[in-house]
Amino acid sequence: MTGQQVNRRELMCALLGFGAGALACAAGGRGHMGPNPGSLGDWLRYCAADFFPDLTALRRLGAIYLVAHPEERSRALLSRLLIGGGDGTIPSRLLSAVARDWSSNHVAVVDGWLLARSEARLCALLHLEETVRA
Amino acid sequence: MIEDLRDHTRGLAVQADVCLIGAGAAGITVARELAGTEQRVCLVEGGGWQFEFAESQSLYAGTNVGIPVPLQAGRLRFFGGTTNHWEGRCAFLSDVDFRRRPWIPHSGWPVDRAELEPYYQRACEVAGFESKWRSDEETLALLEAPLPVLNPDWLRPFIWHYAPAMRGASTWRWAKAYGTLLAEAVNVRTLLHANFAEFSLSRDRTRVASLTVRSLNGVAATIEAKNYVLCCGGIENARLLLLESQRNSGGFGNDRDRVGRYFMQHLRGRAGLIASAEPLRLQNQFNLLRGPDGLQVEVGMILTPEIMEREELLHCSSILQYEPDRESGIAAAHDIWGALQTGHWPPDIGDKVGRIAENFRELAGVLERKLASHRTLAGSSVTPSKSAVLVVDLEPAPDPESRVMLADDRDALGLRRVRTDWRHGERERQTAARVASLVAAEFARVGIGRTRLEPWVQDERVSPVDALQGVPHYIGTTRMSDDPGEGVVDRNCAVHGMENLYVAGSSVFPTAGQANPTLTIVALALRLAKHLRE
Repeated sequence: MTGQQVNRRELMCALLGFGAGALACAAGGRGHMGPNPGSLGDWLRYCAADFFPDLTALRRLGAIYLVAHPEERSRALLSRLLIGGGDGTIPSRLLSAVARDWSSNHVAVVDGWLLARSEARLCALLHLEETVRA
Repeated sequence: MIEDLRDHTRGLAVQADVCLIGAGAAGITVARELAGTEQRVCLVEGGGWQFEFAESQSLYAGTNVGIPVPLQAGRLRFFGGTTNHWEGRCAFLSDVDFRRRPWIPHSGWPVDRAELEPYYQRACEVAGFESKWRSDEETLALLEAPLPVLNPDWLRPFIWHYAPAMRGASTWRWAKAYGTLLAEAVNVRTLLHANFAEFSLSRDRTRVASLTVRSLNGVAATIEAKNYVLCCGGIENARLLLLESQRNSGGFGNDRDRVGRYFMQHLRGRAGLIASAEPLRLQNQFNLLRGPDGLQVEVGMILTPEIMEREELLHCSSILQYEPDRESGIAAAHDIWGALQTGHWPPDIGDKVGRIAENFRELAGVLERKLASHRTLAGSSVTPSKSAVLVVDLEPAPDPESRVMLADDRDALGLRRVRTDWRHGERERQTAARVASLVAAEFARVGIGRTRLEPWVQDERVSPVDALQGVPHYIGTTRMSDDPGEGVVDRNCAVHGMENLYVAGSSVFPTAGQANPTLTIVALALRLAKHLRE
């Protein structure tokens, strides 16, 4: 998995949806209707596929991120890092985390792509959720 | 009067007030300033009126022992000098470029931006700009292409201005612009094919008594002048001082072994590829645009002084470049138009018309903008692109070990050729990588696009030499300093220890700054001309 390169077309589809509106859509749409707003994994399984145009590419990025950051290879840890300690819905907390990352230059380079750290962690969580489901 | 030294078979003796050695941007600018005054000017140029490889250009051959430097391709040896292949890209150095920056050893000019300001304004006229130079803010307001609000603590928009085209040339040419003026000036005598041979010194070794120049067919001329100005470019100025210092066992600004050191070139590197959901919008913002005066401007980004200081960075800017999408309707329209202008039908006309029809909305949008504002994307950059290349431009840090020296082999005039040992390294890579990351982060934050960074940006194991290429602006080899131990010329561009020898050109810049050097070269030449007149 990690040896595979994420190509530009895949990433463009995935990230443009990711950064340019998917979370925002989620904040105002289905994101509110998740089965358990406290569980990021459930929320991701429930609605991510509707919002992110190319989940495969994002999962692949997540796998690559975890190779560089093996200490974060934990669904619980990633969930806590992503939405722990905040108020509001999961999507709004994720949006805030991403915005904070950009403002504070808290970024990660994954397979060449510059991501907000929270985006990279979300990709990693997507990868882990998929692994569990499989 | 313009003469060819080769025609004076009996040799020549010239008396002058000012002898200018080299007819490039600096030499022609000083000569132009002194034309029509009471000063008798002799302008000597090693080349002729046109490019001649065997007769002149080959004298620029040399060797590299460090990172390769294009000694032949990067400079031109004929009337007009390297301005004969100038691209016309202009900007002033910023305030911060002149300051001593504690995090950059050997930085700091003995003059500040305010000192050069009036000369910058006149330098624009000399470089062909007819209208008043507009500030970046004013230009951006007139461009009708609002930029995204980037983090003002990190980056700000920056404008490069392009000099106007001339008949038969894509941009301003000093030789075309001022050749006739100098030919007709009664107080300016220009000698072509007059190559520097040697200076002779006064008895006390503080003054140049005369200059001997020689043509390759063996004709010599001696010029006795009150003042001499080396205007031969960033490498040759140093070479000539080194030659004379060696021949005279010292002097010529080199008593502290400073001549030729701190050799710099601007650096440029491709830092990443930006994928955008709205590539045409991006092309309308960061691109070569038709400016308010009808001239091209280029909109990019530059580091703020605050982040430079906080993170101890060099001065660096960034632009976007676009690979035209050959499959777009606009590219098809360009192809058809280009073919029709040459009287031919283009190949695959059916396919091209089909593509125009498919992309008609995009084509209509471009035409609408053009008709509405007359401020369109400039030139071929109008063609849509699927992605943008993120390019960084930066100054190198002054390094005394990066230098121009004399080689052992000799040129056709018997003078030792040049050898360069150009160096740059990790510090430059770090700045370029940081700027690339900042731009990428800001573009992601405001939703412009996502950037895939080049390996060298994230991986310190990738050699910066492979990542960052030199732009042939040769800078720093006769640097300006009040302290003779730190530089070669003083604040008036006079060689330390010499009463009547001056240097003009980018070789006197103590730091390169982030801007292309021509306007600063011209501004300093105007300032020097005033000094010589007084």
